[in-house]
Amino acid sequence: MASGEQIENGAADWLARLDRAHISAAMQAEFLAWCRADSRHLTSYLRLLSVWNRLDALRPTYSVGNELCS
Amino acid sequence: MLRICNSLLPGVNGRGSRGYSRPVGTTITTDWFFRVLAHERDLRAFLTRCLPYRDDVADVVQETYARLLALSPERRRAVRSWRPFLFTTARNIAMDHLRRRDIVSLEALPETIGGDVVWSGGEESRPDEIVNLTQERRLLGQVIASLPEKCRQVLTLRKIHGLSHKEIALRMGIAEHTVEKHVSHGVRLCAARLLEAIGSTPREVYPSCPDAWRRASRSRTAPPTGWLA
Repeated sequence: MASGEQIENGAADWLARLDRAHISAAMQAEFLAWCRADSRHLTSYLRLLSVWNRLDALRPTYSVGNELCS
Repeated sequence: MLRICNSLLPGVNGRGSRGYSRPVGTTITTDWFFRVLAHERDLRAFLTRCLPYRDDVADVVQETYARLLALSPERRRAVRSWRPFLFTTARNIAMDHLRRRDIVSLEALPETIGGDVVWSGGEESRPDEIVNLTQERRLLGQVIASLPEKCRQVLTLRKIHGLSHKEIALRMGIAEHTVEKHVSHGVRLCAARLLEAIGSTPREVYPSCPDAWRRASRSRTAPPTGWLA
């Protein structure tokens, strides 16, 4: 079974791949297959994605929305 | 059934993302989860005290997150404070793990885990304590600045200046594939360092009311980011 670190590496690689201008249908399908392969994959991916998206707070144009007050 | 939707893709809000812009608001899904992650350091410390095996800690954290991510939007909105919810969920999963391992007697479990400081002091009724936006921006800036040189440059161009991978590759004279490598490495380092930093930063009780948040955040200015470039 894949270790936590291997899963995180895989999740980070997927985040980097999906962070591109164009995402092909084949790549989407591959990503979904990866998500389904192990329930920990998507969790690990969303954890990194949350941090990645949060880095947008450094943008000069960033503004805070209601969603932060859940 | 899982579908690819904007909320599953890396979000980039604002200008500078030519040929690559997702609608503002795609980060909403991950913003609530980030509030959960802000407690990760404490959660791991708590589970480390409760569980004898390191692997179990990682497993319980994973399972706890999975359970929270599976909550319906209605259920999620009903959660007033994530911290007690997070710790309660983790405690229940940890108890299952211990039972499966048959390490301690079942009678001892509630005390072993439930006696933690987390459960004292009326934690249940308090709104989330999180670092405020100014603190958070400072931490984010410090984390980016702490990255290895090339990695720092890539993340700065991507997240602060909003350049695409292609533009970054051209600007830095490297292959797009290399940009991707730096993003992958960078996001892992950022997650580890940011969640550790947030967990060890003294928090102020921040109002959970949207208006109060907006009022408070409006007066804050963006940190100078020139040194990051």
